[in-house]
Amino acid sequence: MGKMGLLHSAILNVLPGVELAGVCEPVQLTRRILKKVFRKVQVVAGVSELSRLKLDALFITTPTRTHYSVAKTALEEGIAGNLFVEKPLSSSFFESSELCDLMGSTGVGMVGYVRRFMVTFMKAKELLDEGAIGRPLSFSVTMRSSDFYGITDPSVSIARGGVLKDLGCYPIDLIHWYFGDFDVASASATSVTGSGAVDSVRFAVEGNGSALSGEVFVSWCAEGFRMPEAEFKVVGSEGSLMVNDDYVRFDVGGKVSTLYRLNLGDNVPFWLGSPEYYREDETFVGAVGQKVIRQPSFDSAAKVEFVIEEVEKKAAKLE
Amino acid sequence: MSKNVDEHLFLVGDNPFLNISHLSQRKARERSEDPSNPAFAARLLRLAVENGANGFTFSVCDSNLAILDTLDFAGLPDALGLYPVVPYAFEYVQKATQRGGISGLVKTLGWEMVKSGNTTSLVYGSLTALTSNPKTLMKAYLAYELSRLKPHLGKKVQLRSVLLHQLITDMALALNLDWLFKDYMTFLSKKEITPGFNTGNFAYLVKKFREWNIDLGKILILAPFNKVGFQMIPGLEECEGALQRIHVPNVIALSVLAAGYLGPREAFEYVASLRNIKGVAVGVSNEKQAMETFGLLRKSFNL
Repeated sequence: MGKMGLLHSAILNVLPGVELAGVCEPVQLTRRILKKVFRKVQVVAGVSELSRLKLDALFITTPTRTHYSVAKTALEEGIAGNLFVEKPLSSSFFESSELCDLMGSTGVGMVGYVRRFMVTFMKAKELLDEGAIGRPLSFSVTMRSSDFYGITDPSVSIARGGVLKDLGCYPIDLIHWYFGDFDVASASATSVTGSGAVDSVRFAVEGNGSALSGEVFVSWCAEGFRMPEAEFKVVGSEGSLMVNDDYVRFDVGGKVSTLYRLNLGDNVPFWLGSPEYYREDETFVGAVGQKVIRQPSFDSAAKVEFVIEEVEKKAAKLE
Repeated sequence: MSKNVDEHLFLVGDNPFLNISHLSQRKARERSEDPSNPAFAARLLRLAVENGANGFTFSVCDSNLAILDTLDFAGLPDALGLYPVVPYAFEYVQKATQRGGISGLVKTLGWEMVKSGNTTSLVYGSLTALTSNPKTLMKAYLAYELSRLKPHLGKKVQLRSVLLHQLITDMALALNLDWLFKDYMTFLSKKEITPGFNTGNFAYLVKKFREWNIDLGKILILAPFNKVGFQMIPGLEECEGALQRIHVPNVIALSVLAAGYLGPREAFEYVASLRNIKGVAVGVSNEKQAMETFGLLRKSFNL
């Protein structure tokens, strides 16, 4: 039960029509504490033990390397037919594809690409779809954090699977969401915390069947970032657009408009962490209730793993 | 400044000192003067106090404690009231990331408690290990945080309240952990410290505290109030309504400038017009702001 597990549990507990039924925690001391915290909720040691609870849905917020095994167990043993998995869906395209097959069309599968629920990125999507800046020609995306700034031990960076899986998945998902499929043209990776770690990655992409091109830079060793931040710039045939976690700014014919979160109706019924987490969970719960697929689905998330592997291959060739 | 005038609290907030802007993080990073420099921040804090502020609300972290170390108290007429917020959630989330998750964080925190040598913290910490009781875990943690503050207290700096961080308050609200709020209040009240809660869900907190028979008159609440409803959850009207109904002026308004979206005059006039507002917390990031903000605030409150 990490920080994302606590966050989702708390939000689910205030969502109308939702009951938090069980929590799974393998560490004994933490489990004993959780039993006293979650007094009316079952706290179990293993995923299979959740089967007796007859769950409608399961949230998987474990470390990424375990997403696949937990999700597979949940689906194969019928523990829950609807799954929310924190991003990324799994550690590889192979695993994600298998999870897509297992999920099929019987349940709702959603992945925690939370920026799709941030009002600024939602507004940018709306503007791009409306053609506010004309036809998109090129873009650049940066995703930076200071999580490992000044750190000289690569072990935790390596254990987390590298910056591409941890942070890089966000811009990849955003590009898919905004522009559809794309190809990786070139890539390079750098170790900052120490040998063997992948701490910053740069890659270039080309639109699949279009003239669109873009550049992506991801680092978790950047200075001065209190929280991870994404910044997306798009140049179109009639203007340009820049969106980050705080605002969206667009320039059409020299007229510049800036819309901050507070201009975009960011309030939600309950605020925990950031409003987008509430929107994300509300969307998933709504999809389960209506038995409809909502994005980001397992299928769209699996494409992220595919691109990550393409970037890794291209970066490895350079080394 | 006489004590009766200070019935209202005009607190210097620490967001600029931590390089936080809720409007734009990019803007915060690009400031020409760096308010996160402890010496500069201490100068801003002193200027603010000289010009009408009577307290400092801040997350308990090394950089903010360094500001208190650097602050020159000579010649200040009254003691500075401290309203710390614990835990500094960002620091703990970052530590968890760098140390391989929650278990790494717990080990680090446990070691820091041992290093602090605080007996109360160690006793409660040991009890937690034996009984897995979250109540003793909370007490161990609070005792540890109080031990971090103690060296900074004195005649000129007084601890008036300890406020529970927004993330913890709101998580506990959502999970219906009424015992946590009650035990937190009992622990601090025994030490003659006013318990406080920082929340992003003010209306929900008031509703829940009423259900749980928690005496709103015995606490301070730190919550967003501003003319445009920025971060007022679920909305401006609901928060204003809940404020009207609490009957006790114990709310310190946060985000009154809506992260810089509103001008000070209109922002302060709005918040001063609200019933049950005990005070305002506002950050300053340059000398001009430090000198002008709190005078304007007092004027808006007709003081």
